[in-house]
Amino acid sequence: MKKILKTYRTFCPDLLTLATLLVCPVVIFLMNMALVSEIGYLSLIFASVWMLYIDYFGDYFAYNGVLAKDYEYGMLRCSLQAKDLLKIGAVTDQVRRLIQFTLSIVPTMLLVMSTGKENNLRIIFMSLSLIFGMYAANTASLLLLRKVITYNIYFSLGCFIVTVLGCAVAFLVGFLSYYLRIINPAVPLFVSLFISLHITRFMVKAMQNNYYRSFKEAD
Amino acid sequence: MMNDTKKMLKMAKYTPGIKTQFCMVLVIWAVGFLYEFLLPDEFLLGSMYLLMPVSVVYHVAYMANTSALMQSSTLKKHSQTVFPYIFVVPFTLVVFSLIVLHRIALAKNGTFETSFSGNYIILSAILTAADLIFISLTYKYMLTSIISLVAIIIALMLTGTRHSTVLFDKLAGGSMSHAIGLSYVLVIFGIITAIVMSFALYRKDLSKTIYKQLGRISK
Repeated sequence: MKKILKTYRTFCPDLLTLATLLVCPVVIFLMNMALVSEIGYLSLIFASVWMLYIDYFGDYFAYNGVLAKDYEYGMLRCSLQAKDLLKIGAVTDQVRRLIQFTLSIVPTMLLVMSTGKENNLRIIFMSLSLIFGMYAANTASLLLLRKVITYNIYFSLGCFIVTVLGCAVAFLVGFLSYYLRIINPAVPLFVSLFISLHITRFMVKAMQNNYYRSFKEAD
Repeated sequence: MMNDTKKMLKMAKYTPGIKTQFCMVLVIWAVGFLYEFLLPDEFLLGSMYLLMPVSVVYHVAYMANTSALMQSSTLKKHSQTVFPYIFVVPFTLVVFSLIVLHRIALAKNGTFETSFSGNYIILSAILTAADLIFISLTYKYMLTSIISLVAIIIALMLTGTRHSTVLFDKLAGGSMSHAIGLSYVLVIFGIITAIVMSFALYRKDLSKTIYKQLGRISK
């Protein structure tokens, strides 16, 4: 555990981890406490979309450029354990992101259920779908954005990509499945779970492949 | 002035990744045109995306300083304080005028009310001024300036709804010509403040985050 945390903290600053795992969920929960009587189940989408934006914003200060074709891994290339360390760093970041979405959505889910206006089972399905769906959307956006190093392009392009992916997940889960009830609530859950698993594997592989690429001589 | 422009154009070739940046400007502009001309909305998204490339233009001019040739040149100070604005100022004025003309056309067509269009122009001017001040601060105070800009953008988006035209009514007195005049005054104020800030912060060290970014892109 100590090794995992130590490896993870070489990439990710403490301030970012503290902000995303502690401050943001609390702030989002307090905002939803004020809004839940007005907007009902939409507060779940509100919480997840905010977290999606915060995470894309924060990743610039942690893993930015790690998939870029010119990225050099510096001292990591001198270590015999670099391959394992990189894998631990990548997997820990993915797990941290999943925990972060869970921490921001589950308290809001309990808040929505406590109002007694919505169907509890459907709210649980919707929350789980949003956790995995937004996690997958976040990882997919970072697969592209971790290639972008320049800060202004990262933030402007990222804002558009995150908006499109966040809207797609919110439309599928919130509108089609929950509001219109065209799709069975289990379908978005299994689709998002399936995509989450594969995209996590893909992200870890991409980081490792880029590490191997860094040893190649330039053309 | 012409000599400075020629020197600036010669310097631009020392900027790392200039072709990629140029392509990204086109992509961001395409998104901006989509929001501003095809889906004109009330949340300043069109203005935001059309004005985002201002920081990229500044970046292209500023990043030429990373080359050893520029570091040893007598034009070093000039290249950090004056040269970037040779491109940024006309670029900003042209893009802002485009937004103003489009909003006037929308008001004349009857697509939007005059009060809404006037309010949108003033908000765009505030956004432009904030963007210009942001680019002059960003290389010295990266995190603070980005968080401030995001906070300003969110605040402007929330105040600029169709039912709230306070700025147009109070500041411009309900007159479209006053609103346009006021908006250009705000933009010129932003330009002057940005240039003054560039001179004032010239001797300040670069932000740590920017320093890391420079390490990644300038090999």
